Amino acid sequence: MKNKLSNFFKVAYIALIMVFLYAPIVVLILFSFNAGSTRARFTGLSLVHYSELSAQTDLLNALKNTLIVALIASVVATLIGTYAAFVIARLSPFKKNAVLKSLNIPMLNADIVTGISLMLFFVFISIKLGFVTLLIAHIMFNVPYVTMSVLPKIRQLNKSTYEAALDLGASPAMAFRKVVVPEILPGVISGALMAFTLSLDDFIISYFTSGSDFMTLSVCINSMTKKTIPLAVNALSTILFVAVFVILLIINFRPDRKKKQA
Amino acid sequence: MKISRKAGTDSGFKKTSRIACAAIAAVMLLLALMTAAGCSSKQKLYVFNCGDYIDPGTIKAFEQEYPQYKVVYDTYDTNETMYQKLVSTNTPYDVIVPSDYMVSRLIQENRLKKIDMSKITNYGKIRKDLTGKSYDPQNEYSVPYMWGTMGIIYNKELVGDDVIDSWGDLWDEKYKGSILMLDSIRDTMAVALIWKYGLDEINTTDPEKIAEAGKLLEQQKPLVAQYGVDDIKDPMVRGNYALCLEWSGDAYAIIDESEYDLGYVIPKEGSNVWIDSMVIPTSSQNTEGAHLFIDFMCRTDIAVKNAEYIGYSTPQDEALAELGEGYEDDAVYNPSEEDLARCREFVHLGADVMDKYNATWETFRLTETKTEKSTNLIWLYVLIGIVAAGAVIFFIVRKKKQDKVRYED
Amino acid sequence: MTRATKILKNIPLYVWILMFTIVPLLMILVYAVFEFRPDGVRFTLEHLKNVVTNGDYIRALLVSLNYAFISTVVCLVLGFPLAYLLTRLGERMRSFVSMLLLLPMWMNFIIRTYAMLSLIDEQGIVTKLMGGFMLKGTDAAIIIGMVYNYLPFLVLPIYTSMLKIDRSLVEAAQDLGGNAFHVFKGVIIPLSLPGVVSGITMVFVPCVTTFVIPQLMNNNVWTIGKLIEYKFNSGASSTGVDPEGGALSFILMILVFICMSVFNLIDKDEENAAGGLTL
Repeated sequence: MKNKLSNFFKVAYIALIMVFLYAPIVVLILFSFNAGSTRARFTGLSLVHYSELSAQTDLLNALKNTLIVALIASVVATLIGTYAAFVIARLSPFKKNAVLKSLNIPMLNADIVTGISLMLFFVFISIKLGFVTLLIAHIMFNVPYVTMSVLPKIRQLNKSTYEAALDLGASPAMAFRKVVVPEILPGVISGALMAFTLSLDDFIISYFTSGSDFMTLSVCINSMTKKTIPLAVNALSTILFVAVFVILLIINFRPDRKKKQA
Repeated sequence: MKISRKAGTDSGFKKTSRIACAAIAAVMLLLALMTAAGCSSKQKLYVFNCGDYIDPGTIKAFEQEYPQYKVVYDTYDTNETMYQKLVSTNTPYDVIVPSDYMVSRLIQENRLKKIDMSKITNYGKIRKDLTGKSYDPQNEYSVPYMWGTMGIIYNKELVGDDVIDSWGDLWDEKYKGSILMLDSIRDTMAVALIWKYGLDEINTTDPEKIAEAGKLLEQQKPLVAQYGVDDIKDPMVRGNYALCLEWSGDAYAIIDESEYDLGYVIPKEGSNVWIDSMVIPTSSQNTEGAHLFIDFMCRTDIAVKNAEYIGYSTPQDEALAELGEGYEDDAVYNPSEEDLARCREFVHLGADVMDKYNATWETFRLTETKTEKSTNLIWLYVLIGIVAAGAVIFFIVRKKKQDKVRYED
Repeated sequence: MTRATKILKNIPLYVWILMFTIVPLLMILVYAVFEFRPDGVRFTLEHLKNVVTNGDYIRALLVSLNYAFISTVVCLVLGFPLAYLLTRLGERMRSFVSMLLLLPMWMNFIIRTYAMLSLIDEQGIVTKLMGGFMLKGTDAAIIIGMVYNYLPFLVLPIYTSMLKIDRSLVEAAQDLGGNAFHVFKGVIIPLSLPGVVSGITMVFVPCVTTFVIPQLMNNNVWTIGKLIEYKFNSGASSTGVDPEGGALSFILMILVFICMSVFNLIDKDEENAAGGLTL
């Protein structure tokens, strides 16, 4: 009986928080189907804002830009971050501490300071603010997250397996592929996912480092907040939400999922 | 043993660094290809305009007419934010649309290119009394885009029998929480200056008067519901506020859009008349396209479209004639000689005076309004400080204890 | 591998860190202490002095700290039990709920904030339910915006560190006669502390420095982030880049680093700095 009660409270509590987190999103989605053009009244179901969306080239372009940047930035950041992890793992404790601390600065620092510092830097060395600067900025704040998730895996590497592989006649490259890669892969993947998520989520750093000809979705929508935001934005967000939901469902419930912690 | 142990990470490291290098090279190549592709197909034309200040169809029409150009369109709030972006980023803007006083500032600072007026075939259609003004006497740098006045929009229902005809109404306690104000340094300061010192001081350089204007605005602050530029339009349209400081064009659009009975007045003390002009900054790398764009914007059909969409007064004679009834005879859209006689232009005041304006403005914007309950933050922070310090000491002591225990083990 | 090649292989990393982390930060300092006027460059500490003695700026900082502190506490109060309860769920349910926690992050910060804003502004449903009382424009709106945006950033690190707790420890504590409360206090809380610390840092710093949430939720309030954004974007200076903006960013940066070192004192394990925020 007591168990049942506590179970009920447990579920109720989690459900309440989820309601808090999802109520705004649900309402946002609901109004994307509004036949009227404002959020003032819900006048009926319609897909009109979805068809409007095709005319909103700015928004669609911004969405495309966001995905491009997030994709390239997360891939490059994963490579640089993994490489950094291998470098850092071999350093002497003192150097390691120093390098790690400075690598982590963008992760700990205030976004606004990172964004402004990069903007000043890019303008100073006269790189035009745009795609390149945005990409560099995203890679730069993604790298430490990747390094941090790969580093523990490198530390846990079981050296004797690698040696055994060598003893059994594998070339160093093959031993690396067969032994080291599988060991660090979970760390690399979760780092890459983290980088991708943060890239998609970012606004402040993009706001300072993007130029007029390459806006991300967040910068674009932010510039719309001065006026009443058209419901086409709701429609776009809904599409985005559904896409992400499906992707995450697949990732989480793929049948042969290895037991992986959160 | 030790060496081979290292080999594990070494080789891993070698491998990843090789992959990383390859990937970085690939990305660079991709980038180069993308920028190359972007360049070869279309030349970019950077247009930097005030928010909500163009018919969106215009840009598409321009791109159709001149398919060699791709317009990169970006917007700003006020002349000052535009100036900031222009000088502190390195975007190669080709056409910007500053107001009179800002044009004069940009000319003084050598930030504008001369416009080849022979290329602006529609220049002859611009009203003569709006060119050759003091900020650009020889008409070398600027082509007027829109012009207008500044005044108060009022909601007739909420105002009732009151006659709104003075800037003083914006300081009326009766309208507490029902006033919307522009967040634009020269315009908002001008309101206080005109009200206190009269129209002649609209361009004052007297530090005392500037400071006094700041104080007046501080006094007004508790009455004001919101400061903004584009973001105060929709609230006014929805009819929730009584008074709103606005420019004539936005006023025209707001009155047009709103279901409520709204009016616009240029107060009796006088006001500001302004001209926004298209100019080509020195950052421009596509001057050819900039000329074409400016000329395009002066074309009658395009000028009509823009004027209809945004509601500002067009300086283009033919366009005004074509707009016809509802525009030509509208006191908001096409103010009478009598109204205009009460309006002055802004002039650029120089960096030193502007520093004073900026300082005063910032103090005013940052002041806490008296209506907000000023919480006594100091005590809160003493408390938080004590708790935090306690926590830190507690943890350090505990860590030490734990370490000790570990050693004893 | 010789020492030389080893160093050679490390160099790209050092160059990367130097180029894109250290040098940009130095740029802020440069803009804080040098004045770039048309008639030349001048070194001055005046701006730094002005910034730390300006009452309005200090108040903006205190106001931001205030919001951030309250939001962090609210996040912790809501988030810690949530993280604990999550670990008590079944495997499938657990990964589903933690996915739900992550999902909004994929939708972008601005969209999330806009979604929350559209509940509490003039046309919002919550406003209608509350009989026309508009939350937008109140202090509560800022807190709601912050908690809504950053709660997952706090829950996930705590949850991760709780998952790492060895079940046998809990069982041992129970075997030794500890009741639920004792187990919670003696095992769960101390062992999840690294997660709590990194969760707090993940929430507190963004809350102090964000300018978007105050701007959208209650634009009458000046926080330190809004102030810096204003300094850099409003053209409030006759010289282009406002040196006081640089000075403010520099001070903010120093404060953040002090904050971080304090947290580091509590939690010495560098690797948790990642926030344990992994997927």
